[in-house]
Amino acid sequence: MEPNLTDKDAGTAAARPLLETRLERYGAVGLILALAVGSMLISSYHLSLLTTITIFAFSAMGLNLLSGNAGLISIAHAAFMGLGAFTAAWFAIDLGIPILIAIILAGIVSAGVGLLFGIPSLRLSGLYLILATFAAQIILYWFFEQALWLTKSPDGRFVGIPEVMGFEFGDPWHYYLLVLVFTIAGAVVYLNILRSGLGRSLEVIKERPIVSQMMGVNLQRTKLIAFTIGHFYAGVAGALYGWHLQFVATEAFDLMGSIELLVMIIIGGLGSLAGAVLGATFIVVVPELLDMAGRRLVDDMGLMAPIRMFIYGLLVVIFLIYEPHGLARTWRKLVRYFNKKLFKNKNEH
Amino acid sequence: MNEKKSSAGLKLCISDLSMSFGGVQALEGVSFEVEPGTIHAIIGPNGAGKTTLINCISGQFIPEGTMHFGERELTHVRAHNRIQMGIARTFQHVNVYSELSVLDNIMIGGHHRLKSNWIRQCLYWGPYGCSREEQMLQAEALELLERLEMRHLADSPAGELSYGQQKRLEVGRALLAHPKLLLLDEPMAGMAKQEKKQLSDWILDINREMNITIVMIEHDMTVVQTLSDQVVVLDFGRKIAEGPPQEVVKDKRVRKAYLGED
Repeated sequence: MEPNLTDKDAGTAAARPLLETRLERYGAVGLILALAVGSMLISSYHLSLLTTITIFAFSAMGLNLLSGNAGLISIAHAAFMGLGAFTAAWFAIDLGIPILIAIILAGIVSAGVGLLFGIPSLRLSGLYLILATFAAQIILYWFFEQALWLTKSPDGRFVGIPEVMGFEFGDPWHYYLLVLVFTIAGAVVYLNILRSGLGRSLEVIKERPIVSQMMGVNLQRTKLIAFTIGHFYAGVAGALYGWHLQFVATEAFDLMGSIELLVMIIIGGLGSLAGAVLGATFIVVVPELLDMAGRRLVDDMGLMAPIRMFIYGLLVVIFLIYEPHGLARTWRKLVRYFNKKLFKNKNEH
Repeated sequence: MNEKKSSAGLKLCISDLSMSFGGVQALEGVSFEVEPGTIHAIIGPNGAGKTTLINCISGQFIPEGTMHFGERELTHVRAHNRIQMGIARTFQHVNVYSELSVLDNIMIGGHHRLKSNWIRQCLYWGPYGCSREEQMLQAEALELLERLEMRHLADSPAGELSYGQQKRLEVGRALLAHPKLLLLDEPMAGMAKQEKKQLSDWILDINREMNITIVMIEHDMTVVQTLSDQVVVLDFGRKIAEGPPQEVVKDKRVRKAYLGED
């Protein structure tokens, strides 16, 4: 036994790859290319949906880190997205800070506030923690309605067309590419976290907090890091969402929004990147399909909203019972199956 | 059994340790010392306070009294820092992380030796990343798994292992922490005779070759007599006897309390 980690040991084990299987690696590159090119070809309505999915996938990564990996269930994620959206608008429009920097700053503000709300939550877990995050949701929402210096009106504020270094994102496709770049970066960081010591400590404090402490994991610190990173994602996603709609609507960041995000990662799959992406896709696409079906079946569109909620609820229950690991688990099985078939002899993993 | 090399290592001094939960006095004025390089067994009937004692040493509970490890006073060192001082443990009820892979489970043991902060872990690659450190820890973990004859299980979820394998994994996890003092809470409980023999040999190896001091709770008196240098007997939270195993089993009070004789 060496007393310390020495260079001598290195090389006998390969570093963990970002994505486990070759199929996933090729698939990820293919998906990115398909999205970048395909987004140019689809109608503006579908592009708008795709942008929404991508932004929510980004946001869901943060929530998945917090709730899926670290087990700190939050129903305030949408409020932190709102905080990001409003602060980014404030930085960029009121203070004249360049948009890219404003987006990052919005993430940092959201992370900081998330950290602050995290501190009193340190001693809580389970149901009590959910109640604490519920309080955060209510407080932040109330703040949006009151702090008119930030939000301009209780309903929200217009943010106009984003502009980066003289380049106007008037074309939604260009804006989509920007969102895509952010989301890819977010995904890479998320995967890095999962394969490093940080990812391990998040997982272990979820399953056995007391044992983990005795194994040398600083429980409080790890929780606070989860709060910080998770809400950084929320803030950046919120900022991107604001410029996507060109209007930051307070309403979009209410409790329902937070619950939808939680539903996303439950249906998508807790604790994985695929879970965040699949969940976001699911939650945007399914209502669209329901609306399409609804238009044929129901004359009164007002009925659709409660029906949609009912179906969400039903799906969550069904997933919790039959596939508690979400779509991502199903996805993994498919990937493993096809990876074996396709790369039978050449694959090292 | 007595020619121990006690070169390195720190001495553990427990003095006047008391701990109560509500009205229950789990430990009452317990004192003993563990010389570096030895194997110390703690025995006693159920509810005697053995696990509570281990929990106090590893930091789950904060007792009254003092505990010194080497020069340092332990009582107020937070649990996650004790492993850095060289105190690692296993648990009475298997406590592996069932959803994580065997490799990840064992790597948690070396967690406190990782130096990268969380931002570097987010970046992972490059001179500012943590990949090198991760790789080295992983290599060491794989080597240890090899020695535990569990290398082929590295990628399986730990929850799928057999009971005995999980127990072994726990010892491995503690070893990857590079401890000076290893606390084993009933390492042999529920094992078959052959497994016990194997684990006993292995505990001796850990003690002699790696020069790790061991404090273990054990019920099997044969194991206690073959392995341990010193035995502490607890009953109702008090220490009723201490000494080499051969002497302790002759003690009247011990026979009465533990071996059920009048």
